[in-house]
Amino acid sequence: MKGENKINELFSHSDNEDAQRISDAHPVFSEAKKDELYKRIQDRVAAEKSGNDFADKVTGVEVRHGHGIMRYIGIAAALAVLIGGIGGGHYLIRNNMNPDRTFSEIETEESTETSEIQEATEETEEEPAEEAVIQDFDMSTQMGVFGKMLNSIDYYDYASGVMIQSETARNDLCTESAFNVDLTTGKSLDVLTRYNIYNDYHDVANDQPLEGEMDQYLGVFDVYCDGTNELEMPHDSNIARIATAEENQAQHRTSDQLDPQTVIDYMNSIDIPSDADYYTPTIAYFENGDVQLRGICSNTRAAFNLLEPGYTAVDYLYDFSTWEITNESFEYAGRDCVVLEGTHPRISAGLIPYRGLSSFTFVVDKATGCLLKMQTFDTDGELIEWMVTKDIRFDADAEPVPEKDLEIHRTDEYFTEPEINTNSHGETYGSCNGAIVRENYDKLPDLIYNCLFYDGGGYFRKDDLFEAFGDQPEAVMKRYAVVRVDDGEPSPAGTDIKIYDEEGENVLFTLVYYQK
Amino acid sequence: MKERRSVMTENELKNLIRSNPDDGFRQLFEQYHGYAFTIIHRTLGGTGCAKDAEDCIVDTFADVILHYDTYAKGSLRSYIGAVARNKAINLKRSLTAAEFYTVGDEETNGIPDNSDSIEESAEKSQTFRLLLDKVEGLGKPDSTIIIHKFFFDMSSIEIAKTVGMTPAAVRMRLSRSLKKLKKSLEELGVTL
Repeated sequence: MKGENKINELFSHSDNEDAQRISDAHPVFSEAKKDELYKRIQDRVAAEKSGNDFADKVTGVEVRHGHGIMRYIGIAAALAVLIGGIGGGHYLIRNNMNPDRTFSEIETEESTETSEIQEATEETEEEPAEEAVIQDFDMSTQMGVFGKMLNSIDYYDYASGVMIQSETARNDLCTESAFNVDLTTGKSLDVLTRYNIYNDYHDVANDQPLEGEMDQYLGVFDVYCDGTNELEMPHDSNIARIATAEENQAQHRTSDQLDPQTVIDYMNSIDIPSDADYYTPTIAYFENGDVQLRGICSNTRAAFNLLEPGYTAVDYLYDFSTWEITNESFEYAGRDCVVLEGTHPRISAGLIPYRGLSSFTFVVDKATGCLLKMQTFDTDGELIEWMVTKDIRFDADAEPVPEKDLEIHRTDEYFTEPEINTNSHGETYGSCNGAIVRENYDKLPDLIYNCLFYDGGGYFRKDDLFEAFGDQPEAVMKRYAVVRVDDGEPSPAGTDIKIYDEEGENVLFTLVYYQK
Repeated sequence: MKERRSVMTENELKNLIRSNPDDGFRQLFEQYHGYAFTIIHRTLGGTGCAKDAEDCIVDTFADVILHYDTYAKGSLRSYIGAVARNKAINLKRSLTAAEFYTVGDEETNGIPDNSDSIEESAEKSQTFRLLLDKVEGLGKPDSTIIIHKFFFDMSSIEIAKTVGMTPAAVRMRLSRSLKKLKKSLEELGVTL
């Protein structure tokens, strides 16, 4: 090794992965210090909130952005459907995209919605009426592709399918989303399963079959929207909790089609600081602007990346000089698609890339603007993030959203307080009443409830965890894939952790923690 | 107090923030304060004191709580890292203003020095990781003491509080650890 490097100067050459590694292994603050700092943070936030005009600026503590104005515009649009006035292209009224329907039919039919419309009319007397017209974008042009991706929800009413996308944390982990969506009612089901990938993830990202096993920690769970509330539940359970702090937060499609040129003009008007992080989400620049992107009307947790790619489009495509349509007719997942290839627009600003992010390839459905496949690469051409579609159907071909009869709880009712009991051997057992770290050793139960993400059962022996994973078992265990192994089943080489009953005598099953 | 794991995935964390912002942001702080602190120290590069870095932590998480959109695409961790880095850059500017600090040359402090070529920078990044491997090889608490001392500029008294030892014991272990590391540091071309 040539040259001399000062140890602290080398530190400046570390990256964020190094920072994560350091912070995971070497905590710097005591519990008391953390409490003190967090109290200061709370005070700062409270002070900011009480300041002038704060309500207009805060977004971080909101569960969802308000879309009241979108509702008003949408309903007002139903009252005053206008035709023409926009040059170029074809325009269709949204009603199953049937160009044969006349505008007068739509006006008459939708005007019959009385009370709600009247209410909206009263509230929007000062607002100019919007045009409820849907532009049929030309997918052979960049503007057309961009516009359709921004407004994909205008081009289908129902969708179902399966997509798989990479997890940001690890290359050998991915999420499968099996979804059913009804945009006309806001109902949806998104079944999310996390898989450990056993075969090469590059192959999976290139549409080869996934060979893997469900991750035992992250498991499988359902996100269901009944058209009013977004609900979370263990897979196929009938007990659900409302996923948002406030009720009635489901979003619904409105008629406010977004003009792509408006978005481009807005993005070009933003003064992105020269020291802004490359990967600061583009949506952050829309927080307080005059231009608003459309909401997540599919009410899905993962499938929206495919079904509503507006955020991705803005992030990657607003500068047409950085990408091109490389294939105008490419069949993918049984659909006629366009292929886009380019580099992230903010590279031209000389900003530091996140994980070396450089180039991308998108496959976009021509009929709907949905993003069916994506891959992003670093400067060495190594894959960073990816998404593939295994099955996709729209409208009449789509599988309907299943009806569910659910017992719905608020979050406060859903979680139970940890209880610690004593078994016949005098050992304590129960849910952990603090982080599983060495400093909490004495207050942790001898047998710690096997609390996986959406499934669990049985108990870890506390000493087994500290012996296998060191002083911070909980943090270290998260870096492993974990599969459940019952007696006699083959398993990957790794660290076996036995799961006991509450008496600590009988082994219920074994969890194998391993790294590829 | 509701049951809460010490480490959650980003999606779990976002869900918790949506359903219970108080618990969610407390968990977010719990999970990422060390990461943000490391980035802040890396960016400050020795500028300022421990109090400045703590102030920057407060600024960072207040900003995240006020402005983070859980529905925004992208990595939460990267978002926090970006905020921490930007706050630290602003702090560094303000702290060094009296020294006729010049924006431009120093603008990207906290990440690889632009004065190095790409190859040199990559080599230094690699050397840093090798160094970290060697330091981690010391085991705890020695590795923690080295990192707190040389990366976070903490005094023996401050380090003693975090590792539960006396300042004298910290100094002794530091001295022994550096002796153990001496050969590795020489091989890597690293000086203290």
